[in-house]
Amino acid sequence: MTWITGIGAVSAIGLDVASNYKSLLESKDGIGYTEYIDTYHKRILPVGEVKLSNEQLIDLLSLDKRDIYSRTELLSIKAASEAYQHAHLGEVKDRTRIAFISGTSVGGMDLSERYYKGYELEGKKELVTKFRKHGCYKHTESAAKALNVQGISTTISTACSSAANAIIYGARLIDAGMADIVIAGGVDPLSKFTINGFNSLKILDTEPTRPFDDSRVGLNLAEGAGYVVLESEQSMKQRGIQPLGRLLGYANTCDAYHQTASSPEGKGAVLAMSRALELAGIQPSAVDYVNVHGTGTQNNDLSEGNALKTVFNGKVPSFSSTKSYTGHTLGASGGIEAAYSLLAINNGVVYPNLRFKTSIADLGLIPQQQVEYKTVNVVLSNSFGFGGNNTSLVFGR
Amino acid sequence: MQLQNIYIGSSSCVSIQETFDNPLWFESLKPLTKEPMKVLAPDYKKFLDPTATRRMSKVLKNSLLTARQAMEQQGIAELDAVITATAWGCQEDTTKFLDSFESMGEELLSPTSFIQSTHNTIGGLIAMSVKCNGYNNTISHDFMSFETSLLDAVLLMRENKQAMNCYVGGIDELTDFSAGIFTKAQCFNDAHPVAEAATCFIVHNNEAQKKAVKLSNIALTQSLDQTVLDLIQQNKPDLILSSSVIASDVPVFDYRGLCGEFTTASAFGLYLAVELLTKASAKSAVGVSVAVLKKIAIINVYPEGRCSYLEVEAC
Repeated sequence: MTWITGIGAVSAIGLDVASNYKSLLESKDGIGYTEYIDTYHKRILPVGEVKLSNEQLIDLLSLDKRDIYSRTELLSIKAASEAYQHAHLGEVKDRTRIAFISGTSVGGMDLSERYYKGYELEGKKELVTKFRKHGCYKHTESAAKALNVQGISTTISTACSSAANAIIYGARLIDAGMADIVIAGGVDPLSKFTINGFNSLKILDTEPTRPFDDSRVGLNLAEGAGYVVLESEQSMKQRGIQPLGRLLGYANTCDAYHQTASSPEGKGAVLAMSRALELAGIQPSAVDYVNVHGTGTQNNDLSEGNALKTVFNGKVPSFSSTKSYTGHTLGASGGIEAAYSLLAINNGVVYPNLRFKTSIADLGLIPQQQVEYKTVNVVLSNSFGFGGNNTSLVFGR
Repeated sequence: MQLQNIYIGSSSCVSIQETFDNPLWFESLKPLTKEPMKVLAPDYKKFLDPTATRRMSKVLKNSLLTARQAMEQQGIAELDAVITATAWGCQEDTTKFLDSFESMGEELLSPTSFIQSTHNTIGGLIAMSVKCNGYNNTISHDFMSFETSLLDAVLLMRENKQAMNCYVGGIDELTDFSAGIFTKAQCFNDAHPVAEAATCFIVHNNEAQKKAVKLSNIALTQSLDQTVLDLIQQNKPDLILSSSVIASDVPVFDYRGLCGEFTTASAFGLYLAVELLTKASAKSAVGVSVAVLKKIAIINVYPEGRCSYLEVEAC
């Protein structure tokens, strides 16, 4: 299995890994009303928004102000650059041995929804730029170019499990010898499209979300980006770089039950968690912390809770949903939560599941309620998506 | 990467040619027009339950149909993996949902078109229809969507080691809206009309199962560079399927002259390669003049850079 030598994250609770970590320890969430999206719901539905405008992000990243950027590209470049610097990838000579694999649900939707009505009126050049940026792939190519990464690049779009699947793709590329280093993770921007989409499904909370609480009514939509740097043992040793941990196992399965809902018993989730542990060669009892998918919807938390009880045979380890801090960042969540998992291992800490009061009646599971310092050797991280896409990753020391 | 023991068992395709449910489609080729071309829609009622598929867009129906037909031809009732390549995803439902909140405001919206708008809708539906709890991935990377999906299947089988049947589909949808933009923005090479297709393959690693062709090589590079030219030189394909000019002695056939231009056209290229290697009459029908045809390379060059090399051999 591959090593991890860098992490990068941007979310509603911080613009970099250090500030995300600080918020996690201070139990400070990033949920509030949007500053940047012009929607009917802007003072009704709280979201997890990254606290920088596009103009501020362009400045921060020293990008050419004359170009048009989707928020997706900006958030991706921000978090990927951090992971890149963390792993000192600037010193790698053969750029073709570094791959870039990213996940996203809606790509450059933030641009498309603003401009698509006016496409017919646009001049050709603007049209090409804006429309091209709608594609999921565009942020991947932009970030790869910004970091001068010349290996294989591709984009995964499996809704909320996109980033986690990008990490699996990256690990396999290294195993097959097709890359030495892979920057892998994902990104999603807040958009009118997704806010209205999730609202039409009636799964958004008008209050900060309460994952795994009996009174939960829905999720808070959010945005962000998170990446890890995966690296082969040989490359890591050659570069003399200290690892942050290892990707010990992973599995991608499908619930194949319903287009948006999870099966009540969490069939796909059970398969994903147990196969990931099996590939890692780890007994469920060796897991110290589970960073659950925990969206805060009625359906997910019940289904995931049942799956946890099945996989851990009733003895569920310490677990929490950090979506109670960040909101649900969709395709980015697997990347951001991978970074949180590695922080948990390196700092020996588990994070609370904010706003939990009463356990779900049929479940009786109590998530982690305070910051707790303890030895964390193995973390299981879940990303379950819309469309039945279930992915679990196992990180170790 | 040189591949061992990876086969394409069967394939199915809905395209602007009469490829669906017609093994001799190449004997009655449709000429391409200058205008955007949509697929020849199959008689859905004949193959799909009309009630279950009533709210499905054309792209979803075509994907389900081709998946089922490829499985039927392979003689399998189950899949171990569903890997879908789509650059533009479900355009019809995406624009429908965008239009709905633009025209009706943001209250009381119906979720149907949103649910069916995400790129992974296709793979999710296929998995549900055949009850596949296995690997499920959707890749959306413009002109490299299909190649990197095929690579995903290869890497998955390499890791799993046991025998697997993987669905790998290359699917893109053309709507009136996207056709207008593609044309106006000249997103693609002008040589061919913009088009669409749903093409899929059962890719497997089971020597004992039905095999149409062997997938012998897959390479992804930054551009049509020396690595690719070296591969041609070393592997000596009898024919190259490509829309690009390639500096080699090997004859090149532009398959986009049959299927039109779209982001997952290389899936049609692979489909054509399988047809050419398995059906004796296909060669002359499409106008390929190569005496002996045992090995075909499909080379796809991305307008923004990057290049792919796929190679198949007769079994």
